[in-house]
Amino acid sequence: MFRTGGGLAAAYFLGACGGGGSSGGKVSISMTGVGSAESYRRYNAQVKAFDAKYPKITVKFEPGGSGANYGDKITTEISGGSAPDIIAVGAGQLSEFVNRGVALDLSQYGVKLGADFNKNLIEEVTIDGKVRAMPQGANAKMLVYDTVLLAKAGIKLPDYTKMADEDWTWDTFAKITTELGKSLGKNIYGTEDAGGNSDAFETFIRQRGMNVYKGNGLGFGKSDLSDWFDYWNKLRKSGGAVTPDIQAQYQSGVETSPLIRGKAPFLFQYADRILGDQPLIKHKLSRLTYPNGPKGSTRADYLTSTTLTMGNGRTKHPEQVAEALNKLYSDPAVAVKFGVETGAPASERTLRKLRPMLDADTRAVLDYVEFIGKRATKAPGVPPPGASGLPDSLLRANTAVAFGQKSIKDAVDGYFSDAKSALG
Amino acid sequence: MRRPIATLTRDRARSVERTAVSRGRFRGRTLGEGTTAYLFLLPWFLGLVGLTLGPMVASLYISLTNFSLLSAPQWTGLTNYTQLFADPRYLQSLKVTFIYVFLSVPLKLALALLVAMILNTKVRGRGFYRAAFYLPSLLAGSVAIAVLWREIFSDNGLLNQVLGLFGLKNLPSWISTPHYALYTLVVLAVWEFGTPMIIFLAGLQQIPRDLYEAAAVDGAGRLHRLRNVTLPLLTPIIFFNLVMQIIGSFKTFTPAYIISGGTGGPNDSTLFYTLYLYVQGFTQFRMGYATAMAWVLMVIIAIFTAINFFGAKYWVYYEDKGS
Repeated sequence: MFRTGGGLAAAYFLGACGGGGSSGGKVSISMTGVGSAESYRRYNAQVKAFDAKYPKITVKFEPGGSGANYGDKITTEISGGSAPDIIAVGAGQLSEFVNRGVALDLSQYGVKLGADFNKNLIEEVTIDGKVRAMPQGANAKMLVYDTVLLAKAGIKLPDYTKMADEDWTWDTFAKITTELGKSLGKNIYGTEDAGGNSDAFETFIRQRGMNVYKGNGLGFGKSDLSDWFDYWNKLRKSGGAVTPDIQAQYQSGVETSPLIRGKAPFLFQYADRILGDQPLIKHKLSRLTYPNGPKGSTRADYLTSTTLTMGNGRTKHPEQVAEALNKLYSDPAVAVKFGVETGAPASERTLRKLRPMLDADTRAVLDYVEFIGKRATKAPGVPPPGASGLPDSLLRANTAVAFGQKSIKDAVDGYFSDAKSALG
Repeated sequence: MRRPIATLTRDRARSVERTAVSRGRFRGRTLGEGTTAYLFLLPWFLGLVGLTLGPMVASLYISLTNFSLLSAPQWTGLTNYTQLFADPRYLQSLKVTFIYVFLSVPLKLALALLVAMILNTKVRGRGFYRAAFYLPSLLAGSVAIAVLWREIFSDNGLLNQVLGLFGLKNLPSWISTPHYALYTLVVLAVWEFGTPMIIFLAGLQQIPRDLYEAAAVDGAGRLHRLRNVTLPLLTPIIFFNLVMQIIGSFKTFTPAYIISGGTGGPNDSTLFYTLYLYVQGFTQFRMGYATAMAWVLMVIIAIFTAINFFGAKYWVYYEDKGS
């Protein structure tokens, strides 16, 4: 990992006094994003590199505060007309912003994502044929596991590059986790309960040749969701998946997850997260893809940019905002400064430049993302407007089944009725 | 409210008199005093209109619209209000909040009174105890305590470890089981009994000693003195605490937000009214609906406060009036 040196305190201070303005042909635009202290160092380094190379535009970065309330804060600022010109948003929010006319149409100002950008990521930020944001980094779903707990149960799994699809299916996963639950003894189970995890569910649905959303509605049927809940219900009953109260404790940081708390060796995550997980646990962690569907089913993998950077549609300097956004993520000399904060760089040229600067653990994350990139099928695109509350609906439905408060049928009906009112 | 405070703060009343007398010296210079006073009050008036009344009127308007924060509000009349009562999660949030208020307020007040009575006796180091018992209420609204609570009531948290010493095994994670989660939050609320306790303590110290002595001479035992002297004279304070605590409990937000990670989980078992309001407004972008919820909450609190004041006529005793 490389670090940027002094002058950052000054950058912070200036950032805090940000706001758009121009003087003497030089345009100043503001930018915000959210993350750890390290992310803020990266953002500032990236912006500094941009300012040095493109003197006509000055970008001032303002840290977005604590992660939990960032989305609310941005929405409120946009509503009040005080939002920065460039805004990092979650992938799930983009269509909402586009729909409300607050995401700048970058195509209109000549922004094109070149061939060195990953195809999945271009698909993701292109809505109705127009580029609406820049992808920050390529990320992929990844199953993290505790190698020590597996070894205790006498199970050794091959490296993800050597695992054949048909050897790693949801059925295999159920078999292995049930066995783990039996041999690891009391109060330790095979896996977290991912029945309420919308990413795992999406993989399951895509393996059936569908997507979670189709247009402005759901892309799957009640029987699909029912099969999914049934799968996890059986795993809980067999001791393969953790009890609902252990799972329900996992609602904030990963430190409350069954994996880190030593309750179950498998956790459904994204590729870059393992770098944050490993320091929290003594046992060596390793990685696999999410399980595959039964023989003959479609591959679900795709790369995604969990964080996107969009232009504020109400900015006074749309041209400069579009240009700054383009250069921040397309110019390797600038983009490389952001490092791997939200996954592998979206552009191949930046990635090549960055790779030699990284340590072995981080390179392993990039290798995994690259591996998934090669297996990738067509990305599902960003969720439709109104869908932001549905992952939570899925979690509630699964929790209700797990605690025995609802039958699977009622839980499925509940989710579909939530979806109907949310997607309209 | 004026009367009980007047009864209880005779000393302060005297000092106010003194101040008034000493101010008399400046009586000659009254010219423009009214104007000056209003000038000094102006910032407050501006605040009242700009920061309180203005936003209230605006929120009343927003509650009658469909407003996503990102585009202009669209008038929908009473739709938000009628939708509320057909929304099962809204009804769940009402249920959770009512259970919480009805359990936590009486328990908290009872504990506060009990501790106040103990600390009103002449125990050694009572200054320390008073501070120690008051401390939780300074901390309880904080994020740190909510996090601590989550740890205490988790599956291998402090509580289960202590119970484990007594041979109790296979205990659930209290904080993440729908049947118990709300009750752990009630315990948290009761634990922060410091504020009403301090007010009770002040009230207890205002009860004239001679009344106890007279009662003792008449042969009244401890219980009799509690029932016939302490409690009647304390009713104005109990009333005050009751009103304030009910209002505060309806508005509880932080513990549920932190402990459930902002979801009101597991499975909506801690979905407090204010938390659901927040979810609707800021994560679902339904600000019109959220403000409608806020207005309904205000009406609910107003009704409870009105009932309290109405009922007070029958049980609250004011010394100066009663004699």
